[in-house]
Amino acid sequence: MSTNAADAGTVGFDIGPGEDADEFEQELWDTLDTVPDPHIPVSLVDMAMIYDIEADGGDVTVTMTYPCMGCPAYDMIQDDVRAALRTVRGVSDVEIEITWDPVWSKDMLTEKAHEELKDAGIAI
Amino acid sequence: MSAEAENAWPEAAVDYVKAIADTKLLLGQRYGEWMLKGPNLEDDISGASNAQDEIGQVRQLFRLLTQQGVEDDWLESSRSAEEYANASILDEEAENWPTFIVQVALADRAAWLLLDAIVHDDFTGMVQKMGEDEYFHLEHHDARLETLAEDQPEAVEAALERYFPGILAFIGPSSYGSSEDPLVSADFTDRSIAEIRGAFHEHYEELFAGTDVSVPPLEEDVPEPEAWDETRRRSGEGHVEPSVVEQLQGISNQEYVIE
Amino acid sequence: MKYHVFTRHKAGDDMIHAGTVQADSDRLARIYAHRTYDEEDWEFMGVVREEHLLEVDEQPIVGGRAR
Repeated sequence: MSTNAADAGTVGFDIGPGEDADEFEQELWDTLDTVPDPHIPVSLVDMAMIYDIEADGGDVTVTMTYPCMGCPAYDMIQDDVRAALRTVRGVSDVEIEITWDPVWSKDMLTEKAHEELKDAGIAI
Repeated sequence: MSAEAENAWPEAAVDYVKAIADTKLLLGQRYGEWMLKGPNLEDDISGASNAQDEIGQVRQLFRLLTQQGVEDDWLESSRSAEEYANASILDEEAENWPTFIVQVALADRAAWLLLDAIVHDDFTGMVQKMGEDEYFHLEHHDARLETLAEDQPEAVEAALERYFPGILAFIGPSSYGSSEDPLVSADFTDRSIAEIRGAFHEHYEELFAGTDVSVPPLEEDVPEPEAWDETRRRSGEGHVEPSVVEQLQGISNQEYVIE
Repeated sequence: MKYHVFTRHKAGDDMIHAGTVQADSDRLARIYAHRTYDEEDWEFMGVVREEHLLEVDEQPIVGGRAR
């Protein structure tokens, strides 16, 4: 075990908008909830790949991770995130920060994602 | 969140991570070359997965390096062969299967140990994630080395002798002991080069115990600091073939790019 | 040697026979099974050497007269 171990699957690690999210941030979350993971029919938000969205005026910073570091769709997904958020009124710039802290785990998936994956016949 | 400016690494750390990243870049290349040459289909499938893992890890290490001011273009596509800091044992394409397994096993394990020693905040979670890939790489190598030690012990021993000096140079010079390791002193790593080298050597002594394969002793092959290139983590001038650099930089595929 | 690969989605599910791998050792078989069949995130994956799979069938009673 590495000393760089993050608290994967930390209990209480919140995915989705925080309590203090205003209407604008909520809209940003809802927008990303329409962007699908290219591999499976579940949104990036339901896949728990979006850790945080911060808006400073029109400057939006998305902090996200990937289930797989070698993801072949790495750039494509980031392009999709930028393209989707730029359609939101009031967004002028989108920055993407990649993080591995905490490390993604399937325990982070939303209940909705579990249901959708089950319907699609995919076990995860 | 950004690691820029306020989070500058010591200069030696930039070289250290660059050497790990370039070693992984070449590992990706070598795994890819062997994807269609392994002794059975299952080895080939692992080779393909390993290559993809390595390239994914390189992408993250390059991302951190650009945050430290290293030019993205230089890293990706405008370097000469002499500017790659990969472990020297990956300069050449191995000519047969046992040699290849020894080559990638030593390089992948050494790179992992160097990475695993890093305690800087920028690596939190990332090293753990890389370890999830690396378990399967290292386990595959060791399992294969066990069968090769039975079937072709001379070939394994010859490859170990051939590659040991190069991989020990990649790990680091004799002078970086527990109290004199510059990256430990800078709190960038928490395990000295001397300790890493010891763990590396011990691993192979244990793996080959009870087989006909002898692991070369450490005494002769650890580089002296005067003979060691800190930037390229090797002794001497060698480098990868320019034709490999063309593949790494995607030059040969440039004409197919759709902008 | 041939190994059979068994998996299941979650505890309590029936075991699925995912397929087989050819490997020179148990240790290699585990790696090959993971690399070949880990597209889904199984709760359990295991390998069994084919020669360890014992057929359960009816055989003549030892010491009796064959009929």
